[in-house]
Formats: sequence, structure tokens, C-alpha cells
Amino acid sequence: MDAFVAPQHFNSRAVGAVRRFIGGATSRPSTSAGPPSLAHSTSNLSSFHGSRTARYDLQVPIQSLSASPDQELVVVAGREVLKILRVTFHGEIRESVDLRAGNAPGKTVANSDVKWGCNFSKDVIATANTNGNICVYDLNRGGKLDRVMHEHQRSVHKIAFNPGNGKILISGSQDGMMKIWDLRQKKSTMTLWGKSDAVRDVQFNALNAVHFAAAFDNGTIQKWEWRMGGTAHSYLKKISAHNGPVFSIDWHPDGKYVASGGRDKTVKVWDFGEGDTQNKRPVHTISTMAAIGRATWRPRGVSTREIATCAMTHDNRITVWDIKRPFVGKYAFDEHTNATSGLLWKDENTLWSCSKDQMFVQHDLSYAVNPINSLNHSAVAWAPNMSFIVVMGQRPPPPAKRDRNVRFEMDDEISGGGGRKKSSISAAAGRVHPKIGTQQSGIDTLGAKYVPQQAVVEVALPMFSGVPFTVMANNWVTSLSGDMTLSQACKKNAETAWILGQYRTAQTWKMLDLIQGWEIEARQEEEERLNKEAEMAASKSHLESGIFAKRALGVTNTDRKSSNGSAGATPLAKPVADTPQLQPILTPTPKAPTNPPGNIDENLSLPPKAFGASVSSSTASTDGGEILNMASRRVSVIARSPQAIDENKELSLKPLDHHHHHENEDKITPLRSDMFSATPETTSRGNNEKNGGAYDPEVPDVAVSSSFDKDRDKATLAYRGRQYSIGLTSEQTSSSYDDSTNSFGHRPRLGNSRPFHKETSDDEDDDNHHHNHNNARHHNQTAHHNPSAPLNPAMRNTSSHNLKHQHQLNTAEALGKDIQDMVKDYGTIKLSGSGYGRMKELPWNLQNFLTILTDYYSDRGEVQMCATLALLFGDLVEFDERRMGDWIEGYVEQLQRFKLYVPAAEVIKATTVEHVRSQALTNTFIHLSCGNCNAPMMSGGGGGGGAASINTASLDPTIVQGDADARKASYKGSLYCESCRRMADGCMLCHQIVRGRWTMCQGCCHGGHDDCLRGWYVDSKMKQCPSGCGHDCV
Amino acid sequence: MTGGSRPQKLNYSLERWMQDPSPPLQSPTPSKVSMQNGPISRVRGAPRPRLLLQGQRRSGKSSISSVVFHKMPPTETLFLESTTRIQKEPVNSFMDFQVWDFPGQIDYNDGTFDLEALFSDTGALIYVIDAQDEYLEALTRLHQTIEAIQRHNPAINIEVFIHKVDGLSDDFKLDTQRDIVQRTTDELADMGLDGVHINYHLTSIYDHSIFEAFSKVIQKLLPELGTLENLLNGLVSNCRIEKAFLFDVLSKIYVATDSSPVDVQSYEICSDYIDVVLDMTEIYGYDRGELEVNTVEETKSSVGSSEDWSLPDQSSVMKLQNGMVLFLREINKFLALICIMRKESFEKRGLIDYNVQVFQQALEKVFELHR
Repeated sequence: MDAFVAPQHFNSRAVGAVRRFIGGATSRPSTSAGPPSLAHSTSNLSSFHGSRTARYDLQVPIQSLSASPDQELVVVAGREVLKILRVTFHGEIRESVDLRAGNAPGKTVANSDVKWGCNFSKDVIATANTNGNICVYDLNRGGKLDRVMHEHQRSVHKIAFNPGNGKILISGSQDGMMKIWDLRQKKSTMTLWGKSDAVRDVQFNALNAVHFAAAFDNGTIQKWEWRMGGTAHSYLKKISAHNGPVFSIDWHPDGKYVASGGRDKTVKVWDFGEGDTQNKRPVHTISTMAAIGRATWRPRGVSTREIATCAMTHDNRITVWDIKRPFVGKYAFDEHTNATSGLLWKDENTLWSCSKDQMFVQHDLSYAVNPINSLNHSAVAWAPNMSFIVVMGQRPPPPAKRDRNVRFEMDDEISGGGGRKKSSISAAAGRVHPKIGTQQSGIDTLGAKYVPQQAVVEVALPMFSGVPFTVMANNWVTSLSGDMTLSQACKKNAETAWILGQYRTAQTWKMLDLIQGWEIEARQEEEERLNKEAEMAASKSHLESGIFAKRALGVTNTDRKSSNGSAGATPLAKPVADTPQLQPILTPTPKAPTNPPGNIDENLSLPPKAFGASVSSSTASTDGGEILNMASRRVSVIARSPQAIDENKELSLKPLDHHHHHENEDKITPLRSDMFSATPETTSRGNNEKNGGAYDPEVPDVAVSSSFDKDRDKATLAYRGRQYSIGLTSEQTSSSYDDSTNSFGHRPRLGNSRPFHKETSDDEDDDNHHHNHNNARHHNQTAHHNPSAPLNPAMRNTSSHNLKHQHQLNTAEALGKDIQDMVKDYGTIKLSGSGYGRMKELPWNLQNFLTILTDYYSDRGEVQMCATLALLFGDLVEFDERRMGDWIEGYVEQLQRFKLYVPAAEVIKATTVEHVRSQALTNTFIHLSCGNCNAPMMSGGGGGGGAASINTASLDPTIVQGDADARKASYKGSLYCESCRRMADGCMLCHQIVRGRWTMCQGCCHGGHDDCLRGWYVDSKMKQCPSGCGHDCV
Repeated sequence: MTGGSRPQKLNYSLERWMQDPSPPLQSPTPSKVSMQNGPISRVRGAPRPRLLLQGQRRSGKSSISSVVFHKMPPTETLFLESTTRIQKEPVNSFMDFQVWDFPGQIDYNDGTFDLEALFSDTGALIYVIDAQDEYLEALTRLHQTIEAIQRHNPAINIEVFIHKVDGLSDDFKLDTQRDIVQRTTDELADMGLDGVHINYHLTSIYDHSIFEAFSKVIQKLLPELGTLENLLNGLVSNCRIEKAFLFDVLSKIYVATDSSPVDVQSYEICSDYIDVVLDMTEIYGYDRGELEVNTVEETKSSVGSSEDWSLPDQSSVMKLQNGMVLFLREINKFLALICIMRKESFEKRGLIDYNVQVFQQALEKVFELHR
């Protein structure tokens, strides 16, 4: 910085340019560079354009300072010092008089405050001492101690001369008394008691000198009129201003406001005018870092908005605040090395300060640091739905010309919408004296809040839409509950994703459905094989034992049964006990309702082409294999009565229509969640019923496939390979899924592909139609030869198909590529043998497949998919514990950001990840926000107030039931909203106070009586919040 | 002459008083260590002044008394049983007084209480209001109590503790205080009791505010306060001390301080310092003999110093990293002087010791005078 501080070598323009370049950082002025010398470290080098900052070392800590009325002399006082300094405009500081010199040393020590008299007492200096004395010095007599007034028994903290009559002096003392002195009289003329603690500060109102303000140790500030006198006198106004002592009070130049600063680290601006006394809230509050020692208004006429503050301890800086920007200081001076003890504005651009570091400093405001300039004016924040917001503040253009008579124009940026104020303010040539009678603008400027000039840009990214996320979150199966099987879950998820236009996701689920089917089957086989081996060993060794033999026989029987049906007598298949009952159903019977619904379910994931082109043995056997798997796990569904199925049929029609609708428009509209209430399960069941008889021709195929089981190894391999290709086909021809969904009702015509397509895919263009057909044919032709062969046409088909869905193209291809790679790998593997071990080696076994999937989705940042996969397949497949934790945590967080508390609670409940679970178990506090203004209830913490305790595990998560006792206990703490200043409880329906349990909606934070809410939501079947906030609570 | 050799001797060191707050059975030899005499009563033989702790039930009266006078950790006050009868706790310190902890459910205005006797020796009434609860009922009771006090003994200081403010935000604290003050003022004006002076304190047992409030309450009961303060002022200005506290060691409330403003951090570090010194004394301190045995506690946190000080009373110095020095000096067995000063000021250690000694003697005279 020293390179810049020899301004006389540059011309003024160059200096200005340099200053502009280094901006507000020009803090160290030339005159104070280097360590302060002992006596006269004056600033004789300061040039016309240079900073007028100057410092003077007094070598003892200074407590207070006061200026002479002509602003040329300043008296500084400390415990051991009382000196008058002469300060010239350019910052030359010379010691003028040492007032202690000619006086008795005993009486002049321990000065806590000093004041220079005014008008009638220009030549008088008064000091307040900690021993209770007030000493008056007469400068006309060479600074001799004129008199000592001792009436206060304890330390005198502050004195002030009356600006209207300089002979009147007021003192405030530790004993809580304030005394009015007339220097012409011997004793105090009046003693005022504020009924409070020690008086820390007193100040007369410069405009109306009969009023003075006092600040007290107990946090109150008072306004007095000293002339009233007598014994009946009392304060005019009293405000509990601060929490903790108030150390400083200063009248605004307009005489209506005061600024008070206290130990609670705040500066508050109060309306101290004549108006009503009921308004006891601060007009402005400035929060600072440390206890405020002094606070004084910058003298800029009656509309000044700036306050200079210094801290009591810990912070040595002097900050000038604009009350409209209460969080960032406007100017900062960092000259002192110890706490600043006194502040005084010489004029509007010059600030004098003294400090316990023994220095007296003159600060030049034009060279102050502007903290606001070192801050970032722009910010970016993400919204939960992937949109983000950018806020940019305008920086002021650097001032073109720097002249000492032109103010440093920083406030233009701050005045913002309020317009420019500078025309009303006189120039800086001298001290601006407030003129009585013209102070009208102060209220406007003080009352208005700062409105920043900032540009706000909200950017919505198309990569993530909240609607599908929300619907999927609500409808996806994340945990297998009741008799829901994994396959069903996959199918349901697939369908939900499909309806929402998330075709890739839907295909993923369908593939998963297939693969998990094989996986389970393979595991069953493995289990059987092991069982068999065990049984063999057992029968060998225990042949002679009748009991064992019998049991072995039993096992064999069961085994045979299950191998016939490929039903799970294994732990993986859920209803193990039901296997025997299942058997009869599986036998090929022409009776329609006995058809396992799983069969139909399976159709969901099969392309209609496969069916349409041929009801060939290949397709059928695939189908059949699947049927067997499904059937073994779908006992309860079969047990349903035909009537129930009929009902389901009715239900199923609706969603189908919807599918059509969305497919036609090829875009997603917000879907109501109730639309999805008809699950795929019911849909398929209904179709099953509908197709019943017509479906019969396929049933023998099932039998065929079962018959394959005799030569199990071979058959499994055969149809597994084919199944794979079919599975891929179904995945690739994703758009045709819609056909298959719609075509349930037309199953009788399955054998005839042409009419089927004509009728069901009206909305599909012919080209696509053709492709499908071709593809199906290709598929059929190649299916028998090489399992991987059908893939290529399928891939082609996909690409052409996906042109329709541009937004999906890349992703689908990417995924398709993965699959292709996988299949290539597969091609190199010689297929032989069977069983679980074999399955494990296959590249598309569940483990590998899920690893690829989760890698893929986590790369794309789709935590929803990853988390759902982890939840559903966590039992079957091993996931990396940490990654799984991340996904689920992220998903829960995302759900909560979308206010989807129900799915979030379900996820937390379903997950096996320990820390997520434990979080839900321990953290049963929710933070409430106010239903009126939506502001969070901030008064929480401490003694248990601030949050209602809920049990996340057991309650219906939509309705949060705050405990009545907790509410009562935290009556003032939690349910009182501080921003809108009302209680947030009470019933929104009957507007009565709620006694007992208060039930609220977590989404909109409105609540009320249980009965009222039940009447509204349950009996009247309303969906929206009765408060009229527009929130769909149910 | 070590302490271990005569464990049965009475000792009046700080830690002794920590462990056994009951008054000494007999005075030690009064000739030399006269400051270590028994408790100072303002009027010899007069009953102890009372501090009445009143308020609604569950407002935190017993917690306050446990935290301040029994050093109970604030978190454990949760498990305090509710008080069922008036708990009279004698506090033996630099000045003897009794704390009467009233059960919240007692209505002492129903005529069965002898209010005259109750209030006659009372120094201060501390009325505790739970700021986190509904306080209208509490205010009604407060107003009744004030009225009764005005009838029987108007000299009682009325102190209202707006308690449990730790759970409230800063703005809300002040709002609550304003509300309470306003309501009380209005109510008293209606009763015709305009002139009653009530002090309000925002308190919480989780920070220093309860100690500060209690300090102020106790200070008001001290007629010598002004003198003590002036003495401290003199000491502070002559030794270039930043801040000096005269602490009651037992309760960690400060009896007096110089007139410069008390800031929170200074108070807290001094109060923690007392804890440290007491803990150290418990471990390393030994019974001081009757007369001559002097101990020096030299606790150094950052800068080591090998000098050994021999002073007639316990003293301790702690040098802080930020260039400040904490200086503790035992004044008598209840009081300790703690000074915060800069390192440079502490260089003249001899001067400080001398000044403190003078201060101690002055204090002695002040208390003698009142005896």
C-alpha cells in the first residue's frame, strides 16, 4: 500500500485512478504510515488530496473526548490525563494545554467523562470522575480547576451541557441519580431519580434543549424534561430498550429519534418524539458483533441515517452504519489497537476517536474501508426442483472525480427506491447545524426500510420436473407389504413411470421384473439342488431309519411338486405354506377365473408383437415359465371372488383411458394421485376376467412349459435365453408398451396381429406400427437360433421409435448401450450347465444388472431411482452400504424438500440403513412454521419449547399430532409466531381455542380440533385446507 | 506444619467452605488473621435479613436457589422435586442472610400467614415469573403480594425475575419484559401504588444472568456498597486494572465491582476462574495452620514463572493468551478479589500487592464499622 501513498508525486488524476483501482481498500493514509512517534506525530505531509487521517499518542489510556464549539480544540480525558489538543483541518495535531499541570493532582484523577461547554460556557471544561466529583475548569484562567462539585456518592458516568444554556449541566451517576447543575450556583438545582439502575449516559436534545434522554444499567432508556422539576417530576417516556445495560444514547439531529447501544450488541433507533408512548418497538435495529460502547449519529442534517459505533471490548474497529442496511457496515475504520472509548464527529466527513490504546485519531471518511464493497453482491441458490435463482446487486460505478469537497457518493446505491437524497443535504464544506423548524424529512427517511436494487433471475432447468417426482414418490412401491411380490412392485412402478412419460425408467423396471424372476427361480433351483443333495446324503446314511426315510420321501415329494410348478418351496418365495393349494390351479384347466393373474401381469411387460405374431411355443414357454413363478406367489389373489374381480374391472378402465390421453398428447400434465389408485394389479385382474375364456388357448402352453421341466436344464436354458431377448425387445419398444396395456381388452385377437394393431394403436403412426410388426417378426424368426440375435433389430427399432420421444433419446441409448455391452459379453460366454451358480455368472444376473443400473442412475443424479432400487432389492442383492445410505438419505431429504412427508416416512421405515433409521427414531422433533405467514417458529431450543414432539414411526404422517402437554409447556415459546405476532394454534374451522390435542397439517401448518378436522376431511370428503390457503392437505 | 499432620484443625480456606457451608463452630484466633473472622452481620445479634423467593409453581424458584447457592448444574434442576413447604436456607457468607423458598401453591394472602412477621425482616422479595408460560395469573399474585408488602414493610426491595428466558429470542425477551412491566405499572397505578419501585431482571439458570441478577439484589442490601465500589474504583485506577470484582466465593455472585460496565465475558471468566481455583485448592491445598502458614496458589496457563510468592492470603495468577492477566486474591474466607488487567500493568506486581493489601485493610475497616 505504501506504493500508493505519496500522492504529491502524482497528479491528481493519476491518484484518483489508482484509488479507483484499489477501491475501498485505501485505508492506511500517508500520514499515519509507520509507527506513531512519541510526541508530535503530526501529519505535516498531508497534501490537498491526501487523507486527513491523523493520530496522536497520549501514552495513557483515554476514556473520553470532547470538542470545543469551534471544532479546533479537543479535550481528551482519561484516568490520568486531561489535555487539550489542537487539530487542524489537515490533521496536524498538537498538544495545547495540560489541564492537570497547574492543579492539585489528587482531585483531577480518574476522569470518566469530559465535556466542553457551549454558548455561555465556551471556556469551561467539565469532567466527571469515578469518585463522584464533577470538576469544572476555567480556560480563561489558564485551565485552573475552578470548582469541584461533589454530591454524587458514587461514580459519575456522564455529564452533558445544555445546548440551549451552557451554564446548565446534567450529570448521571452510578447511584441512579441525575443531577442538574447550574454553574452559577453552589449546589445542584435538581435531583432526578429514574427509579432504575445506574445511569450510563445522559444527553440533551439539541433541538429542544428542555428534553434529555438517559440510558440505564437495567436496559431502560428514559426521556425527561428537566424544567418540570419539583418533586412530582418523572420521566416522560420510558422504554425497556435492551437486554442488559445501555451504554450509549444519542439524539438524532431531528430531535425525534434516539439511537441507543447496549451490551446486547445492538444499536436500536427509537421514536422519542411527542407521539404516543405505546409504540415501544425500535424503528431500526442494527446487530453488531460486540457490546456497543458509543453510538453517535453522523451529522448530515436532519435526515441523516448513519450511526458511528464502537465496541466496548473485543472489537477495536469503528463502524459507520446505515440504518437501512443493518447487517453490513457502510464504513469501517481499523486504526485502534484496543477498545475505542470515545467517538466524536468533527464534521460529516471527519470522525475523532480516542481509545484505550492511548491514541487520539482523526479519521477521514473518504478513505474509509467500505465493507460492502468487499462482499459478494450476487448469490445463487438451488430450489428443490432443480431450478435455481440468481440475485445480483448493482455495484456503483466508481466515482469519476475525487475531490475533497465532494462527498463520497456511496449512499446513492443505498437510497434505492427512496430516490436521491443528496439534493436535500448541504455540501460538506463545514459542519451542518440542524436548523430548528425544518426537520420534517427525518421521519420519512428513518421510517422507510431499505429496498435493495437487485436483479433476480430464476432459472428453471428442464432436466428435472417436480411433477413426475412427486407422483412417483407417492405411487412407487418402496417396500413389499402384505402380499405384494417383488414382481408386482416392479410392474407397478413400471406402470407409474410409464404413465408419467418416464419411459426409460419404466423399461428399467420391466427389465428388473424379468431379471428378478430368473434370479429367484435360479435361487430356487439352487436351493432344490442343495436340498436334493442333502436328501440324497440323508437317505443314503439313514436309509434304515424309518422316520428319516419317511421324511426324506416327503421332501422328495414336495420337491417334485415344486419342481413341476417351479413354485418356491424355498425361502425366497413368500407363501411357502400355500404351495400345495397352488398345485391344482396350475394344472391346465379351461376354466377362466382360475387362470393365475400373474399370467396377465406378465403380459404387461411383454410386447404385443410377441404375442401378436405367434402364439408360438417359444413365447408361450417363456410366458409359462413366468406364470409358474408368479403363480406360486399369488395365492391370495386367486382366492378373490369373481365379484371382486368385476369391481376391479370397472376400476381398471379409468386409468387406461388416462394412458391413452397422455400418450396422445405426448406430454405430462399434473396427475392427480387418486388416478393411480387403481393399481396394475387390479387392472390386470380385471382384464383377466374379461379375457377369461378367450385366453384359454394359451393355457395348454403353460402345460407345455411345465412339461419342459422334465428336462429341466435344457428347457430353462432355452427359454431363458429367449426370454432375455424378449425382455430386451419389450424394453426397447418402449412406446408399444402402451399398446400392450391397452390391448388387454382385446386379447381374444392376439392371434391375429393386424387387426389388433389397427384397433388398439390408433394413435400410433403407421411407421411405428410397421416397425413393431417387423420387429415382432424378426424376433420370432431369430428367437430360436441365437438368443442375442434379436437384439439388433430391436435396437434399431428402439432408435427409430425413440425419435418420437426426443427427450429420452440419449438416455435410452446410453442404457441400451450398457445392455448391448452386456449382451456382447454374454455372447462370449458359452452357455452350458445351469443352476444358480450358472446364473451368477451371467452378465445380466441381478447383482450385475443392479450395479449397472445404480451406477447409471446415480451418475445421472436420480436419487429417487437409486433409493427405490436399494429399498426393493436390498434383500436380494448386496449394495455398498455407504452408497445405499447416501441414496436413501438423499432421497429422504429430497422428499422432505418437496414436502412429501408420507413417502419420506415410508422410506425411512422401509430402509435397513441404520443411520437413517436411527435418525427417525431419535429425532422426533419437527420444526413448525406459522400457518399465517409461513415463517418458521424460531423461538425453539432451550427448555424444550419450539417444536412439537411427534412419533414418526407410529402416526399417520400427514397429520402431525402435537402433544398437548408439550404445547402447553411451550405456550409462549413455540406457537406464538414472532413475525406476524399471533398465536398459530386455534382451530381453523371453528376458530376456537384448542384444548387438548391440536392436530395440524404438516404441509400448510394449519390445524384444529380433531373433530372439526374429521368432519371436514373425512365426513365432508374435502381435500383442501379449510383455512382457504389452497393446500391439498389430503 | 503441613496440613496433613493436623487434619483435625479447623480450617477456613476456600475449599473448606465449599465443602461445608455451615457456620464455623468457633472463631479462629482473632489476633492476627482478623479478616478470617466469622460472618459479618450488619447488626450484631439482629436476625438475618431474608430473601423471599416467590412465584407460581414450576416457575423455577428452587432451581434458582439450587444453582446459585448449592452449585447444582443447571441441567440437573430438571429433577428437582417440587417444594412443598417453605424452605429456609441460611446462607453464611460475607453477610448472613436467609433464602426462603416458597412453594408456589401456597397462598400466603389468605390470612393464615402472619404477614407482618413474614415481611418484617425481609430484605428483598424475589418474584419469579416463568416467561415461557402463561404469566397473567402470576402477575395477579405479584400485584397482591406487592400490595401486602406495601402495607407491612414498604422498605422491601421488590425484584421481579422474568425467568427461563433462555428459550426466547432476544426480541421476544424484551417484548415479554415490556408487557409485564406495563401490566404491573397499570395495575399498581389502579391500586394507588404509583411510587413502588420494582426492578425487573431477565434471567436464566443456563447462563450468567441469574448470577448477575442475584448480584444486583444482594448489592442493594449492602449499605456499604458505595464505599466498596469507590474503594474498587480507587484500586482500579491506581493499578491500571481493567475490571475488578469482589466475589462471594460460595455463590459466585459479585458483591461489588468498580463502576465501569460489567461485560459478560469478564464476569464469566472470573466465575470460571473461581471454580478452577477451588478445584485446585481441593487437590493441592492443605490445611493452613492457625496463624503463620500461608499458601500460594500459582496457576499458570500459558506463561510460566518460577517466582514464589509469599503472601498472607491465598492468591492466584492466571495469564491468558490474549495478553490479559487474571489475578485472584483471597480477601477473607468468603470474599475474593479478582482483577482483570493487561500484562503490562501486571509488571508492577509489588505495587499491586501493596495496593490490594491496602484495599483489604480498608475493607476490613468498613466491615468493622458496621459491626
